[in-house]
This record gives sequence, C-alpha cells and structure tokens, in this order.
Amino acid sequence: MYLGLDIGSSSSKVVLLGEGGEILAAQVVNLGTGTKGVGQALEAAYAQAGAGPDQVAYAVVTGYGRMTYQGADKQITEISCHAKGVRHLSPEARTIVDVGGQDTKVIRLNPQGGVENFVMNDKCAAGTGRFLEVMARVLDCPIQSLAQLARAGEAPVSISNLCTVFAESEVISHLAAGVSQANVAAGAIHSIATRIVGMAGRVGVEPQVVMTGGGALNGALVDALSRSLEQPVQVLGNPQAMGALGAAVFAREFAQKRAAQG
Amino acid sequence: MTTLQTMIDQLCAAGANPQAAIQNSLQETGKPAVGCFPLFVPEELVYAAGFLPVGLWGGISTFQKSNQYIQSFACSIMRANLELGMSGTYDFLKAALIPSQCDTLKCVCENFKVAVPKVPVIGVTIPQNRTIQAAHGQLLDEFDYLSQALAKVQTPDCQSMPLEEAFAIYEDYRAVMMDFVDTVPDYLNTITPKVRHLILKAAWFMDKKVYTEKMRTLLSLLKAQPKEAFSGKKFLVTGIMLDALPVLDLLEELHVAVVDDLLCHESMQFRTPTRETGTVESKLAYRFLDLKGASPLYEPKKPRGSQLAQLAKARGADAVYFCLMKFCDPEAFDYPLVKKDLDAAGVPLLSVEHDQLVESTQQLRTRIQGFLEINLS
Repeated sequence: MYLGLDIGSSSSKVVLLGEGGEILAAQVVNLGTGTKGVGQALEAAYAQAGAGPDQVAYAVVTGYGRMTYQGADKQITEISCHAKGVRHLSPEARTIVDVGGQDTKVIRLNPQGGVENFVMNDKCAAGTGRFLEVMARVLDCPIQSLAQLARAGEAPVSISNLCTVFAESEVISHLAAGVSQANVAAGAIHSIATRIVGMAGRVGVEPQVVMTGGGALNGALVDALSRSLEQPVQVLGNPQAMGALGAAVFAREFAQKRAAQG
Repeated sequence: MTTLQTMIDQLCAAGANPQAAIQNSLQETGKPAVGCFPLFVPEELVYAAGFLPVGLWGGISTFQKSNQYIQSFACSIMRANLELGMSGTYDFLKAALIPSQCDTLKCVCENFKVAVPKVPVIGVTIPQNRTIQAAHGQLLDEFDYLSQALAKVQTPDCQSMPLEEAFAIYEDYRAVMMDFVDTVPDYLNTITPKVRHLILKAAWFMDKKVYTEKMRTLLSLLKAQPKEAFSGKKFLVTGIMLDALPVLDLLEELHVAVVDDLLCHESMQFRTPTRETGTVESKLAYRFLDLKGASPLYEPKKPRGSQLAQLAKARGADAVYFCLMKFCDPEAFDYPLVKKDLDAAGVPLLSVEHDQLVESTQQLRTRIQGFLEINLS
C-alpha cells in the first residue's frame, strides 16, 4: 500500500493506493498544516482502506506543510504532485490550474506529462481560495453555497482591486450601494478567473485544461474560468485530493524503483 | 592559531551584525564614518577624505516613520534606510552619499535631507548616458564637487590621504575579492550561500584595508584546503541584492550552492576591471562608465543576459537565480531581456520576487524546490 499525503494551508488530504495502483482510500479534512487535520485524515483513510500504517510500503508528502511531517520517505512539491495526479487520471491534460487555500498555480505539462513550466501567485492572496473565503464571509454566505449564489448573478459587478483586503472593501462598497449579493458574488468569482487567466498567460495555455484544488469545487469558478480561457475546463475525480493522489502515485513509483534495485 | 573557521566566523559575524561591526571599525580606526547608499558611489573619495565608508543597504522590515515619505509599494531598501535615519540609527554618520541611479533613489535623496536633518546629504549624480565622452568629463567635475562636499564635513579625526593612495587600497581590495569569488566554486561545501553572502557583506562595515587583510588570510587558508566535490546544484544569482538569510538557508537546505553572483550589493562592486591608463580620477570615472549589467544603469544593448549566460557557462552553474527585489521597476524591466538571452543560451532561469528581508519561506520553498524538480532533477 502506498501513501500520498497533501498537507495544505487549509485542508489535509490523504490518498492510499493499492499494489495495482487502485485507490483504496481518499480523505479530505478541512484543517490544514499545524492542526489535527493530518492525523484525522490519516485515521479516516486507514479506516476506509481497512488497513494500518504498518502496511504502508512507501509514503510521499506534499503541500504547504510538507516539511512539518516526519513520517514520509520523501517530500515533493505540490507542483509535481498535482501534475502526477492529473496525468494519472487524464493523459491528455496539458494545463493544470490549482486553486488552493494559500496559493494558486498554473502548471503546463509537456506531451510526456512532465512539468514544463509553472507560475504561482507570489504577491498576495488574490486569486486563491483565501479570497473566496473572504468574499463568502463578507457576503454572509457559506463557502459551499458561494457558487450557487454567484450563478444567480445576472449583472456581475466589476471588482477592480487585485488585493484581497482592498477587494473586500470594494465589495462592501457595492453592497452598501445596493448591489445584490448575487451580482457581487458573480463579480468576485469573475475577478478570480481574470487573475488566473493573467497568470496562465505567462506559461501559455494548451488544452486539455484541468482544474484542481479546493477552488475546483466551486462550479461557478470553473465555469468563469472556462469562459475567460475560451475553452473547456475539466474537473477530474476529487480535485481537492489531486495532490495527494499524485503523491501516492509517486510513492508507488519510488517503491517499485527501490524494489527493482534490490 | 588562526584557522579557516576562525576567519569565516569573524567575517560572517561582521556581516550578520552591522552595528557591532561598524562600532568596532570606528574604534579600531578612529575615523569618523560616512554612509554610502546603494548602488554605486565613489568610495575611494570618502576613504581619501579620511572617513570610514559604511554601506547603507537597509536591513529592517518594520516601517513606521518612513511611511510619511515612501509608500509601502516602494523599494524596501530605501524604506529601511529612511526609517533607520529617522529613528536615529545613522546619527553617528558625518554625511550620507546618495547616488541618483534610480527614481526611488532620486526621491529619497530629497526626502532624506528633510527627514534626517542630523545627517548631511551629499547627492552623487552619475551621468545617465555613460557612453558619450561628456559623461567622463561630468564625472570628473562630480568628483571635484564630492571632494569639496566631503571636506566640509571633515573633522580633526579624519585621516586624509592622496586619492592615489586610497585608490591603490581599493584596487588591492578588488583584486583580493575577485580572487575570493574565483576561488569559491572550488569550496562550495565550506563556503555555503549564507557564508559567501555574509563574508561579502562584511566589506560594507569594515575599513577596506583591514577587511582586505582578513580576506587575504582567509583566502590563503581556504586555498590550503583540498578542493571540494559538491554534489548539489549550482546557482548563479543576480539582482540588486540577496540579503534574506532565510532564503540563503533554504538554498543550503535544498543543497544548492551560490557559485557566483551578478548582484549590485556583492561582486558588482568590484567586478569591473580598472583601466590601465589615465589619471587616478579618470580611472575612477571609468569604473562607473564601464560598469555593466546593473539594471538601473542606462545600457542601450542591455548586456546583462549575455553576461549571465557567459558567467553561468564559465562557472558551471546549473541555473540563474534572478532575485527580483519587490517593487524595483528597473529589475522588472530587465527580466524579460535576461530571460530571452538565457533561454537562447539554454540556461534555466528561476525568478523569485521578494522584499530585502523575508520572514516566511514556505512559498519560496515550493518555488525553488519545484524549479529544481522540474529543471534539474
């Protein structure tokens, strides 16, 4: 059995793979690095697989908190792991947009599935899951319902500020001016999509485009991104667990390599 | 007995503790100090006037008073210098030399006069178009003005000397430093990214003659060691400066060595060869006119990318690390040109943008580690 663990800034994800590469367990706990989330996700995954940690032949850890976990054989960046996970599910994928809690990354793959280039946000939380959380809070809307609210917006407002803090003030101004919550939510989603498109332009976008990370759970954001990129955006399997899946695939490959070397 | 480690520790301690190092230098030399702002000033004139030249390259990340004059989206080195000046840290200086090599420096030169009245400002005007003969003449005039301005702030403690003597001390310093830079690639396990940086940084806080002697000793001890095999990756770093110790620690942790640099704060201070003919004033002028590869300097053909490509090849560097100072427009404008040249030369390029000081390296870790996984594994 092979363990892939993705310790993000706001959630912990675990995938367990069997000897043949089949997914034995996939768990997501919405508690990130420095919390009990890692332990809970591992416990839930082992319970789902009906197995224990002593049966893990190789473990790979990734994500923002990867350096804090001591129980892995190897730690790999989420860039390589998302690429590995996506290619495991779709060999046609060439562009990955990963919207996580802290970072947003656009990863371009070569035809063989290797990472050719990547960009990630390096200035602020704009365009990340944190931005979605802040918008949901200002709109007094559960994060899970933000997509539904945004889809109801028929005339999205323009949110011009890239900075999350300034954008929050801008949203409050719109609400104070009487703009509906739905139109503000649609505007917020559109502003993230616009920012991601800007990042994507730096590495180039080639089909097939796959969206991963917690942001991919927001259907309105996936649609907005698809419109902005003018091409379909796929969401494969459990997008939030894609990094963990990639880590587990890496774990299996490393274990097989180790076994082959004797 | 003086050992290599003793010398490394001594110089690293000076680089890591500027205030203590400066105090020590003031006591040792008995000279008064004059501050030298980034990027390039004629230190030899300061030294000849009998002062201890001290580098002022920021060093703090919390700003309060300077916000009156500089926005939060400006160069963190300039914000830090103004903050340190306004908080009295620079009160011991007899003057501060502020060159006009970028727009922020031009504004700070004026701001500093008002915000830090205790430290007289001596503006240094470096000609923008350095390729025409008039630039040489202008610099000679500028040196006259600077010498006169420095004379006005001289105290009885100043140990003035002929410019020729000061220039010779700096030539010796530059030769020893180039020897050090050339030697480092053979000792990448001992001279880690942080050690290299702190040793070079220490030069800003010590009398150049004293520093050069220490470097000479360090070099002879280093060269006496067997050359080291290094199994990690080698970066050539470029930018204004790479002073963030957590980033340097991170490089070391990821088994990356800094094999050379084109940083304004480090080797670009001594890398330009001095012309062999002419008066000492003329040679000093040409040291500015011949400078290449610094983003704020006007260069019609922008040779930085090809310079980096050649240096990367000569040093066996695996990649170039472009340390993009946040909110530094000249650096941002240079980047696409550098990228184009390095892409053409097949040299992988990693651009990382951050302030002078960095508290958290988690995102940087992903950037750098991701780059290593993709390009160099």
